[in-house]
Amino acid sequence: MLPALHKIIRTALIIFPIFVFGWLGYKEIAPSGKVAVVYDMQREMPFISKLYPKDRVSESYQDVDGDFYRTFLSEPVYFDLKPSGQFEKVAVTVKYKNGGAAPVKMGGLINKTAWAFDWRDLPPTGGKWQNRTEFFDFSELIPEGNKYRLGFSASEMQADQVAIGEVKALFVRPELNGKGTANKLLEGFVWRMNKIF
Amino acid sequence: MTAKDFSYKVSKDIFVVSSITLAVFGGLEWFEPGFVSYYISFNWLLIIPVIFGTVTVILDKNKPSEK
Repeated sequence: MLPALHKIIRTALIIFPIFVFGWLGYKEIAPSGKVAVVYDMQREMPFISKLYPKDRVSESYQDVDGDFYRTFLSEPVYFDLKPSGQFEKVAVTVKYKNGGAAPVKMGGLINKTAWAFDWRDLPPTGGKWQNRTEFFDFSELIPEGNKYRLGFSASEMQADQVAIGEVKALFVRPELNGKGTANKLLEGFVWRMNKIF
Repeated sequence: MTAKDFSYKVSKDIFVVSSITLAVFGGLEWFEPGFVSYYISFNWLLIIPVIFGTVTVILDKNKPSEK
């Protein structure tokens, strides 16, 4: 009885990591071409960094609905996107509240030497929560290692006037379907090799 | 096979498999940052071989001598 049970356990122990590897591979390849991640201002996510620098952002507060948010104490405030793999575009959806009269700007770093961002306006919301989606092309953003820096700028704001409730990122690349799958996987492998060496 | 032998063998198998998994996943993470750590905590991958390595050593010491 026990030797047979031992054999079953041993087989399961060997199969389990292979299954996990397959699952990780599937997540990495993302055959649908889309990977969605959310940073809810509370739980840290691997694909989206916290808002920083720390001294320009409040601690995490909870509103009456139980949702978390952080306010800007000063600006600019940044966050990083860390896509795992090669993606073409990212749709960044921000849940924000802007109690000021001037728009808050959100943009991605496009020139590190000149410290230039391609700013997009997030209009005033009159103190109400609003969602806004902006699209960024990774070919136009400047990578810093394996991360891309995005930021918020609100030069006319006062402390606690601007709040961020959620940052959602949808990383997009062409869908993998039967035709050309092997070529795309090979391209991805070559891209990784180029990044490493 | 006694229950003690069984526990020892299972513990040893878990230790060996989790150690190899840790090494392989560590290599993959080095090769492609985020491949593993974005989904699985390396703390857990490290804790499992440490626990079962310790249990294996303890059970091995308590085993009656085979000589």
